[in-house]
Amino acid sequence: MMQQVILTGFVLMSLVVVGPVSAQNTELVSQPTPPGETSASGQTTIDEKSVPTPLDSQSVAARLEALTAALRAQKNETDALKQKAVVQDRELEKLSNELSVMSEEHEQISLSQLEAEALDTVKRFSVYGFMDVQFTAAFPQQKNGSPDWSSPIFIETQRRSTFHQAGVNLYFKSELTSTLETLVETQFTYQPNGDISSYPKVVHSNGGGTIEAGEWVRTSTSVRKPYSGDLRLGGVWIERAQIDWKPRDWLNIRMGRFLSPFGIWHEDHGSPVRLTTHEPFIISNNYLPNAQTGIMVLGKIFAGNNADFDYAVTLSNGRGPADEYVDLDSNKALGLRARVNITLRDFSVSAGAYGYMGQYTDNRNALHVYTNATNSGFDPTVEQPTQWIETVTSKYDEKILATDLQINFKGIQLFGEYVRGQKKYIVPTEIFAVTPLFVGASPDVDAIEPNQISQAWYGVAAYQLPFTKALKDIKITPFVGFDHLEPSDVYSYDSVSLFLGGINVKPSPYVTIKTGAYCIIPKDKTVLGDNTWFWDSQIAVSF
Amino acid sequence: MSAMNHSRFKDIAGTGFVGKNRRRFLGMLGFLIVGIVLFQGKSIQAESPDDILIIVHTSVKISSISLADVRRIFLKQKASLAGQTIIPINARKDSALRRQFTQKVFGKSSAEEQSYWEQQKIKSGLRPPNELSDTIRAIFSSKNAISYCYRKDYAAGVAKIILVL
Repeated sequence: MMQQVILTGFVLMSLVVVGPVSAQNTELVSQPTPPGETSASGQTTIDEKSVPTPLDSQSVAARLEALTAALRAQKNETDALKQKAVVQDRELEKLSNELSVMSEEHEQISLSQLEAEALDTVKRFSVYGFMDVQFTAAFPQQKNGSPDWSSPIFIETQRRSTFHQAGVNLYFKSELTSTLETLVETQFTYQPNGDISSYPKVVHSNGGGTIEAGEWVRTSTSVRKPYSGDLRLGGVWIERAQIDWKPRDWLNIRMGRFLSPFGIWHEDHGSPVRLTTHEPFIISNNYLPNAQTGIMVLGKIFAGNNADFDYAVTLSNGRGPADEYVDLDSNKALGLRARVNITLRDFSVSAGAYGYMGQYTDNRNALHVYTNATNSGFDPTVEQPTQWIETVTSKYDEKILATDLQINFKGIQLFGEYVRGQKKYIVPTEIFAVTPLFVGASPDVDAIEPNQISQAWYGVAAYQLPFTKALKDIKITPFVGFDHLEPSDVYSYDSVSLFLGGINVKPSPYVTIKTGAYCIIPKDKTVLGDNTWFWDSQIAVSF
Repeated sequence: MSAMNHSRFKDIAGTGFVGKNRRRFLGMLGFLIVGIVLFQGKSIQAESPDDILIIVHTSVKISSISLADVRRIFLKQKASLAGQTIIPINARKDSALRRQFTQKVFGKSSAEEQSYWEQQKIKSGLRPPNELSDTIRAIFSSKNAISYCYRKDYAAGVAKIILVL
């Protein structure tokens, strides 16, 4: 109470002394600023009418009380703001800490540059390949106590026992983008060294005399090295060189040199994948072109969880003497592939077909120059005195249908293929035919290749023994099969059948060892001789 | 709303549905539950930390996938899902996770899977999916990617789960 009295007295004295000065100041400031508002200088203007006179002690006290209250309120507000600022600082610090932890976590969970590069799916380039070594021994029928190698069934490489190596296949694969890639497969081969491009045919007439055509031509690539001995040059065969653009599973556009999309054996392609050492007649007799140059549209369509459908449409140069890079006719070869695959737990079946129609053309070109009578210039009567004149030496249309079927069930594999081809000559090839002898006619040196239908089929049954786990992932698969060839419906003397059996062992994913025996049974034994046995063993490695 | 339900219940009760068919209804319900337990037993199995989760990058639009499609994607027979390109990422082939995934999805051993890829390389030039030891990190950093991990290693928000094996 006493304090209030003293405080009130002190304030009254202050107002008496300071009052007029304050009023003057207020006058100066109050002109531009409306009453009760804050001026630009931050001072609060006071309404002149509300300024108490020194004698109005009641209103002064009231005013004083109001000011004190306002002061307290402002102090409280300042304290609250300070507290709020402290809380906000704490929150800021907490958020900063959280951000720091998250940054560390993000850094931990993000890939390092090396890891990211390892995962990069584009511009991946890889080189890999496979090779094999094979040993073949033939066991011909004995004649007069010694093996008879004279049967026409023996091509040179099958006579006697021999080691052989086809070559080394190298792949170059590049994934340029997620939808664009290239694949080049080459084979480094020892050929053309030793290739027999021609051999003579000699007919001995019982009436005396001989008819002979052709000559023995064995290619030699032997060259002398400048400072040491000889070397034999080999070749590089481009098996396929393709560009793939695959925007969808059902749409893949392939351009370049690609493998013909048919069959099982052909698509297995390499010795580490193929089950047997014996190459089916469908392949060895080139029923279909191994590869084509052109464009292929292919894709896969899924039907539910257990089935899918593959298709391929091919448009290419077809077959020709240099179809890899030139088509000698304007007729493009067309092919259609379709295959259905169904999988139900351990059981799977796939059935496919490929139809192909194309034209083979070979020709000869000569440059003809027409001159005037004195050979001192071009012939003025000829519109174009220098001309390439093309002569077609061989031309035929071919239609081929290839079908395939594969069934797998708990380690059992059954697969087979059938191919039928038709050749219709437009410009027949000249051959030296001994075949007329079979129909009671004379051998014909100037014979022409007849139109013909040929067919071949094979089937293989195999069983992967259920000891894979016990043998630490070594797969052992015995197999049996048959193969049949009818090269021509015109002359059936060279039809043959073949039975085979053997075993395929995979001691690691990279190594395949095969060994087996097969027996060739000619249809006409008077021409091709008796049954002949062969034994084959092969080791194939992918790297 | 609750009044409506109540009145419906009353109405049903009024018609005698509950009283007359209650036993049959409960029997059918029990049968249904037993059926679900028997045929969908897996879906109500307790979660295990060793479950293998099929996970995708959060940018991948799909929310579920069939086991057949997982198989096709990791065998590179299929490269897109719902019109979106999908890139499979495998765990390292010497890891337990990869072995278990290969067994569960393909029914093959690691050696058989390796053999499959060797064959595909020769037949069609197809290469196996990329590998990384930490598949979760791989998914987190790779758009359109699909991979797998153990449930115990999964962290929410890092990837999207689309199937539990």
